[in-house]
Amino acid sequence: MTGKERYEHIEIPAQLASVMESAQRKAAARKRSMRMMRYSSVVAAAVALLFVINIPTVANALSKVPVVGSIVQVLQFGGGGEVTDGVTVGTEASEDVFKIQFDQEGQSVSSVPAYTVDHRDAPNRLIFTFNGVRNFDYETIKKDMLALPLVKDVYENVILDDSAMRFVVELKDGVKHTVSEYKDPGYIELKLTSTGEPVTPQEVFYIRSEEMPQGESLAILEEIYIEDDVTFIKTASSNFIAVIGGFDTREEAEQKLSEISARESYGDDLRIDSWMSNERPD
Amino acid sequence: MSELRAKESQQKQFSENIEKCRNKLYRVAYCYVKNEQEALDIVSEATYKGYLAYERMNTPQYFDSWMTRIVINAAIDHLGRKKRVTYMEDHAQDYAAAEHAVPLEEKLDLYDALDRLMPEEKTYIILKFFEDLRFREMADVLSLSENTVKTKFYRIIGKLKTYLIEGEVDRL
Repeated sequence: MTGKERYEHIEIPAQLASVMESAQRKAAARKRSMRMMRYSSVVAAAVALLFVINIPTVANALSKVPVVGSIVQVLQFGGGGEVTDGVTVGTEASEDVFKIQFDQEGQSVSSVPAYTVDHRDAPNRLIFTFNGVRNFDYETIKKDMLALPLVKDVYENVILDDSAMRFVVELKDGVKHTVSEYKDPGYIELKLTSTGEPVTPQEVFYIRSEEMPQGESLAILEEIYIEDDVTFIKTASSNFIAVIGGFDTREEAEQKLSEISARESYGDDLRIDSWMSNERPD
Repeated sequence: MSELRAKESQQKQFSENIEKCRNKLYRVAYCYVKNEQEALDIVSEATYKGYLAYERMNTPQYFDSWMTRIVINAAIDHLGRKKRVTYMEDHAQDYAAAEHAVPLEEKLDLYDALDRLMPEEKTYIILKFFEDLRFREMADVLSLSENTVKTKFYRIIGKLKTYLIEGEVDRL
C-alpha cells in the first residue's frame, strides 16, 4: 500500500461528528459571553465619560485649554468614546504630540469611537483598543507613530472581533504620556514627554507563552486567559508572546501560575520567565 | 433582530461547511500525531477556533483551505506542547521504541516518512502527496507565496531523499 493509500484508509472515528459539534457549542457559548463583555465595557465607558464631563470644576478647567475641539477627558489609562461603526482614521503628528482623528463617510466625527488605553511597564508601553472601527487604517497610525522620536515600536494585537482594533505603542524608557480625548471634532491626542533621567533596569518576572507569529493563536490565548489580564509583547526575534504579570519576584509569578494550572481547562502552555525591564524577551 | 438572524445564519453555514470536510480535516490532523485521541483533540480545537473566527472570514468559497490551515496550525501547536511535556516526563524513549517496531519495508513510504519530519515539514508532504494539491493551492492554504512553497517543498524532498534510499520519494 502506498503512502497515499494509507492516508486514504485512515479510519474515521465514530465520535468525530460529536466531538466537532461539541467544539462548536463551546465556541458559541464563548461568543455569547464575549458579546456580553463587550456591551458591558461600552456601558462602563459611557458611564465613566458622563462622570468626568459632569464634574463642573474639571470641565471648566479643561475647557480653557486652547485647542480646536472641546476636551472631554485627560487620562493616563482608562477609556471613553461613543459607540460608532465604520469610522476611518487619520493622524497628525509633531515631535511629541500625536493626534488620532476619525471620519465617518467623509465627515469628522463629533465623538471618538469607544476606546480604552492601558499602560504597562517592562517594556514601557501603551495598549490602545478601539471598538466600532471596521476600516481602521492601522498602517497609517503605525507609520506616523514610528516617526515620533520617543516611540520605540508599534505593533498590532490580533483580537477575535473584526470591528475592534488593538495596537501597542512601545515607548522609550523614562517616557511619560498623557492621553486627551476631544469632541467636536472627536480626536485623541497622545502627548509624550521624556523625563531625561536615566532609568535603572529591573528584572521583571512574567508568566508567558511560547513565542509565535502574530495571529489567531495569540488571540485565542487572550480568550483563554482574559481574566488573568493577559497582554501581548514583541520578542527579540520579532515574534510575539502572551504574558501575565509582571511580578517583582519569581515566587509571586509561581503562585499565580499554580493558580492557573490548577484549572481543569489549563493546556500546559505557560511558563515562568524573566527579563530586564529595558529588554525584550527571547 | 436582523443582526441576530445574520449571526445564526453564519453559524449554520459554518456547521454545514465543516461537515462537508470533516473527514479530510481529521485525516490531516491524524497524519501529524498518528493517534486517534490526539487527532480528535486537534480537530476539536481547530473547530473551536474556526467557529470563533468565521465571522471575519471574507472568502467563504475558500472555507476548505481556510479550515485546513487552522487544523495545520492546531496540529503544529499541539506537537510543540507535546514535545515539551514529553521531554519533561521523559517518555521520549518509549515513544521512539514503539515507532521502530514496524517492519522496515513499511517505513519506506511517505506516510512513514512523515515521522522523520518536523511538524511544519509534514504539512508539505500531506498537502502535496496526500491531498494532491497544486503548489498554487498549497500557497493559498499556507498563506505563503508559491515560490516559497516550492523552495520549502524541494528542500524537504531533499531531506527525505537522504533518509530513504529507495521508495516513493526517489521516483519523483
